[in-house]
Amino acid sequence: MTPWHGETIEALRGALARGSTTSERITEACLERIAALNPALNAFVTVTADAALQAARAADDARREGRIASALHGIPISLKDLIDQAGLRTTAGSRVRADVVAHADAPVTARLKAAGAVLVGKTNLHEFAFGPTSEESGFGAAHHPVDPERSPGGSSGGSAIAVRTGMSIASIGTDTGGSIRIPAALCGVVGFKPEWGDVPADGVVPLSRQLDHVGPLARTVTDAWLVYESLCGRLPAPAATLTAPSLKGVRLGVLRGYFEDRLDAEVADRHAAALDTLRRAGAVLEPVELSHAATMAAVYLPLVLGDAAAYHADTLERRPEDYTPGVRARLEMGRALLAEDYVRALHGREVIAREIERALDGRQALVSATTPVPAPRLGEPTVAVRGGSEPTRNALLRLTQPFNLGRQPAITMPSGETQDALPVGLQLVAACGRTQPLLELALACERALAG
Amino acid sequence: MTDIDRWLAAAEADVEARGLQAVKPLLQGLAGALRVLRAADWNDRADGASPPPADVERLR
Repeated sequence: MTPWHGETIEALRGALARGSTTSERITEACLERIAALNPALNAFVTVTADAALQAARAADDARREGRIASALHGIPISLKDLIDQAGLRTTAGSRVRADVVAHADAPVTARLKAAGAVLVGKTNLHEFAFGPTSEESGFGAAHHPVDPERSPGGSSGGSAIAVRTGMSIASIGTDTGGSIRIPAALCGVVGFKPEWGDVPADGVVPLSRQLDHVGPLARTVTDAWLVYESLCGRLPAPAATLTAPSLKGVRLGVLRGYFEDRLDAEVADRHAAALDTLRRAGAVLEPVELSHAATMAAVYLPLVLGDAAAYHADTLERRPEDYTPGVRARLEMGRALLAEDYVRALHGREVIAREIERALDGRQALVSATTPVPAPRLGEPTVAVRGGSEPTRNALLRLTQPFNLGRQPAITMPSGETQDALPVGLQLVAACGRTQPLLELALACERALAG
Repeated sequence: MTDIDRWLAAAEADVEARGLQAVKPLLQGLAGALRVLRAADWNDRADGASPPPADVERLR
């Protein structure tokens, strides 16, 4: 029997069109994967098996009548449990919201339903999306699909696990400092953070509204594009395809300095090999340094801390014990910020955004590793990098958060594995307004890296 | 401008008074980030003076 849960949207829509399978069978396969793997990996907070099967049968009925909503018609997709789906609780991975039921669909949820997607459940995450490891969750830590002793990354950890293991064919995550790209890279799937504002974040529990982005995790670049199009409210035609350009003469800015100085040795090796592959495919690689790179974390921190503190202050006063200890401590830290430092960070964000855009002038994309280290062990507060040690949280966010400040579209794709079979990701970033060319370029890179 | 050291002392005293000892090391890390932020070259000064060039690694 074909393991439908392990296929791409591209493959499944073809099989569905040919009548080789049904949405019901694909959905059953995903639900079986959830039943088999979720007890160990803890990727889902809520599974909507009955509703999903009902939606799948309805999708099959519509297909038989010739009504095919889009390329996602009948495809099982999961939602990070930060996103509202009417009638289901939105826990944000926190006991604080254990019983908070959404009365309406978030716009992205409604758009997926309009595209014909089958929603199979809500995925686990770092509590309130406030961390990159998914270990501080009110519903227990999520576990890496290759090595359960390790973190899948976060905050959209459950989404990355679901896609990697076939519990859902794609998933919707959010990204405030890297929360789509980090778990996607650590779990070996594709993660796409759209340009800020492209995809509505209404009906999504905020971490920092000025840095929050909603986007897809999927098995391939084309799948991520199909889901992204749906999230934007543009129903992709059932046979819609992305076209890969030639890489010959394409100018890519390779981020140096801050972005390369402190990479794990195996990550550095895989990254260098990926760049070499792109060079051999004809890309022109140009070194780029961002002069304000070393200040980026110092700009990011006051913004996210201040915004999160404003959202949580009242609840922290009333129900502090319902937060996980680490998230509570970081939120309390945010309450100590001075307004003057928040304003300096607001100014810094604009400076950094302009600097990134200047670095992209005349270049198709900037390139870096997605994370400086592979999946860290759960519970380890620091990771070893190049003979030194760095807080795990800082290390995981280091290469992705600049593009939340800059608000550029950014995508990660698998670029290899360590000797322990832990995935390594390659990050591509394009200028604002250049999303479609970025995704086309990413498809070309994905093909080159696949050999 | 509130001096970072004075801000840190006040913030540490506040969390200690509220029994939040776990927040103290986080505040010390935040103080390092704020030193970097305040030394950044985009900060304007009312008296027209330029901020001194920052040694970011030292300030962390």
